[in-house]
Amino acid sequence: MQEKITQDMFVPVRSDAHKQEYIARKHHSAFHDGWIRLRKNKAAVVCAVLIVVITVMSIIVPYTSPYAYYETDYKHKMNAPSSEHIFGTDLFGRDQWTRVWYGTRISLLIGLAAALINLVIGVFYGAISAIAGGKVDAVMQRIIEVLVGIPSLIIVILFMMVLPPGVGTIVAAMAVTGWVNMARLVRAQILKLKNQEFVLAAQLLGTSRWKTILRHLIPNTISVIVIQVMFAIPSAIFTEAFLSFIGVGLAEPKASLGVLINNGYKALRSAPFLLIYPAIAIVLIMVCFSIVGDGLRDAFDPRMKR
Amino acid sequence: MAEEILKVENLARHFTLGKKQVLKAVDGVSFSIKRGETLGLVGESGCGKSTLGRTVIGLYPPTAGKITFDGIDVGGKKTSAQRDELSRRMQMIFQDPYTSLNPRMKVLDIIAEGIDNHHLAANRAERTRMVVELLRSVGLDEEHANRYPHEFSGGQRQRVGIARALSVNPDFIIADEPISALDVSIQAQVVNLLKSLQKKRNLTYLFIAHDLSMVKYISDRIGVMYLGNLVELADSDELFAHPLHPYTQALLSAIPLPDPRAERGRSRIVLEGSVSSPINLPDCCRFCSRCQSKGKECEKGIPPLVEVRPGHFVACCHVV
Repeated sequence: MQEKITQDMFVPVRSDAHKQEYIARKHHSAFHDGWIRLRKNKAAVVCAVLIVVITVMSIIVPYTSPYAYYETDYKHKMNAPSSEHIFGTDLFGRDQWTRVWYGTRISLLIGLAAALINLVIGVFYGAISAIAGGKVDAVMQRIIEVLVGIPSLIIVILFMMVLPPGVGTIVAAMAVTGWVNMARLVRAQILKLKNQEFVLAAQLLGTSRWKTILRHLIPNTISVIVIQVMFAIPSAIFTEAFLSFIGVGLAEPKASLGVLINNGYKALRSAPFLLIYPAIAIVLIMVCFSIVGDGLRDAFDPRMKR
Repeated sequence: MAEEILKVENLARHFTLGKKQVLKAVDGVSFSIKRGETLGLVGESGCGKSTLGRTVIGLYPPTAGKITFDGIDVGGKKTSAQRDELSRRMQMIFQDPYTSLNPRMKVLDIIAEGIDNHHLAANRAERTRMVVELLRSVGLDEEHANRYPHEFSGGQRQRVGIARALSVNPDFIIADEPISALDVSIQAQVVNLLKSLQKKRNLTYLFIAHDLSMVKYISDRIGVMYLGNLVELADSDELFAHPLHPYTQALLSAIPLPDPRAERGRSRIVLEGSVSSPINLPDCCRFCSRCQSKGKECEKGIPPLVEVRPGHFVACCHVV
């Protein structure tokens, strides 16, 4: 049956100007948005939890363990893992469980300290270079290029030769060249932001130079900085492990994961457990930091994704 | 007749690209704007419209020439009080609403930036009240104040940009292609908003655009730019009725007509070739490479802007 369409079947739709401006989306800050995206990334969440667990364990275990990391026991040399020594004992009868966690603590400490120093130097250097521009920028970039040109391993080994071995020396040696990547990233980001219209608008509204840097430039660089730090930590840990492995790292009885792996590698045939546990620890730390770093980048800087 | 609020004389803005390369973005432009008037500025991409706007407001130092805003020399040395006055009285609305708002700041703080810089609010409550008032005046709502720019649509963002420009209570606003990044339906909304704000607050606009019909709608007078030169300047009705410069004629002939019958009869003047590069320009009429009625006299030099009828200026050797 066909129905006849009549005039009175139509009602005009009144549009409400007020309703047109209504935003249905729940209110989130940009940071909150990133946080939501990060939580959806299961691998990153698992790895973040693992990092927290590993960090907490590395702080607690050396205190609560009945053995100290330097305590030798020549009656129980190279013991296989047992209920008494969970990861066994090393060449001098030291408890490997305590030493692995102690080594993890030192490695994390070195990674964190190196990344923080990179952060401070890199951000200041990059920001000054980008904001000053012109000749200052050119000279500062040439200095970076010279630093990149010198193989960093040579600088680090020279440092280790001259200064007394220790955590401080390793961190200092890595800080000499480690900050250049951060400086370049921050400079690129600020150069990009410097000519955006919101910075020009701030200038027109009479915002001072310093306020522009603090309110407009730095806040928009933070995601880049955080992500770079997350990648700098594992790379510093790896560099330290490498140095210890070739024998220019920490001195006995102090232990880092690199020192433990070096010792374990010497006894690979007779006591493979000495190598396996610290190796697992360092792999876990590296992989977790990388995955969390990737997750952070995808969550807070979605444009860079793939 | 109202007094002149802005006077631009022989303004030039050149960019040095290399040792011998000079890009003449703006080259010898003169005009003036009266209080309460809207001057439209049209021209194709890259003809120097935006550079002109940014030089006039003081973002770029001028290479030559003089900009006077209500007695203050914008391009010269200013006292800090003059700088303060300029940044309070001259504001700008930007082209791209997606980059003109800081993504890390709430709308409240974006709009209040000028208020803070010039200490226009006595306390926090007054600051918030002023921002809410500004939001309302551009058709937005109080609840939008605590949101971040990425939560808004393009048109809404552009209106936040307008509110920010109005926050310091300026009397002269440069609108640098404020509608070219927006949908057509939103364009009308923004232009109408600009018109009504002009009436309410007695604003003077320099309206930069490349959409001729939009410019005609909002402007009292229109200036046509070509490769850094002002080639024609007239009242908007006069310009549309009697375009004199061959470039203006070509531009106007490109506007589609809403009436299909008239549209069928419309004949377009199609320009041959493309715009010459603004780098290392020859010293002749800038338009001569594409002009259909060019002759020998065109190569003698850049023709000056001459008043051919009252209020109608044109820079072409043939018309004079």
